[in-house]
Amino acid sequence: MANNTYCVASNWGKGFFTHSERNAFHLEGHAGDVWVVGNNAAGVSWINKVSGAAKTKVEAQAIVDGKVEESQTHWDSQDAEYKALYPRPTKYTLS
Amino acid sequence: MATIKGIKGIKVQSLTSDPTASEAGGQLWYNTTSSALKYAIEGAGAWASGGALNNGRGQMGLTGIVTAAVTFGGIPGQKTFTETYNGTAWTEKGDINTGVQYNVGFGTSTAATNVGGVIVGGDDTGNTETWDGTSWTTSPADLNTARQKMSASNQAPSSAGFIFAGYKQSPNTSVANAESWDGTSWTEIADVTTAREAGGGGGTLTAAFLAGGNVYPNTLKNNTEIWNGTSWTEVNNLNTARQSPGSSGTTTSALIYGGTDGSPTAVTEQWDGTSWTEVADLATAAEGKGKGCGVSGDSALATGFDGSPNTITEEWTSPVYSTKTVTLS
Repeated sequence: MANNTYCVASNWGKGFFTHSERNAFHLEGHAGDVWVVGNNAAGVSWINKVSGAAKTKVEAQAIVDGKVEESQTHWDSQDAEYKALYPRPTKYTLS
Repeated sequence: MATIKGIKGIKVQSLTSDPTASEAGGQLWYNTTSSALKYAIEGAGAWASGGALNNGRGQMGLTGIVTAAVTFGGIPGQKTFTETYNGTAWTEKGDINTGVQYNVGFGTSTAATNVGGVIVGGDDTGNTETWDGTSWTTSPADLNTARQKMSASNQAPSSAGFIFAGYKQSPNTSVANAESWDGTSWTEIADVTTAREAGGGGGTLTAAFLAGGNVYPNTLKNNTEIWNGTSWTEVNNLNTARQSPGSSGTTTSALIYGGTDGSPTAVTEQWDGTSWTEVADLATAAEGKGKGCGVSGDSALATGFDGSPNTITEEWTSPVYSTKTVTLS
């Protein structure tokens, strides 16, 4: 079972996460500026670096779900050609 | 007190500051400032965050290398934005003349060619514009087959590149056509074997690759084809079939990342000239709108993330060097 922690932080660009940090802990970015972060010392240090707002998994999941629902609404408003080429966004479970 | 010189007969170098990790791989030294024994090691390739675009978007043209790239056009709508990247930050430059999406390009940040895509009104275009580092000039020559979602030899010079495969409306179909550009006109050359759209591509006019893509309306492909300047050859497949990935590199060293495999994916695969190997994921899945450029499978730039076009970019480096401190008892 994945040992992760969750936060919300806005990716400011260069230096937000580095190559070395990516090799030191698990990191996944999701809609709503939600980040799934490996729960080790390097991951915790990174959350502090980016001033991440800690979230529970339930809270993080709710933010992502809300963004997926926005994407679904956008997809529903598109024409048939767009819908033929791109699948309707679906909700998924954070690791 | 035992010393390394006393035990092994060699002396450890003393430095007042740490050398750059990438230049010190495999070396051991004593930092006299921090009073610490240190070494540098080579680690696996990884993605890091890159400079944020000024104008968030996806499905745009992108070419160049990680430290000198140019991006143009894109969604939502048919953007005219042009931005250049210096490895740290994006700078807004002169707009393209005709707003476009699903376009491609090849060349460098100071001399590039932008071609094809979808223009305002929804029509496919064969429109061609050339970039001199400051402004775009519309060429009188269009593609022979107007189309969108092509792949391109994005490591080719702006006056000697080519585009291949893609999708065209009326009737809706994936296409196999390839066309080469000599700076003045487009010429039909040998078709790709499997017609498809939104594949990953890269290389030059004499050595290019096409990997993945979609056969209209909805059949994802993992096929890889290699171009030798004369014909296409089918080689080993991607591990993950997908469309709209970012891509970079050449026929001997390439990278495919992100895209859509039914849902957004962050999966990255590296090509060594023979086969694809899965390596470290992007931090953010690319929602089918990833775009990339780069000179090889060891250095790449990814843009165009998220369901709603985003300003995020990521930079791939392989290998990644890091400095470690030896803990002494």
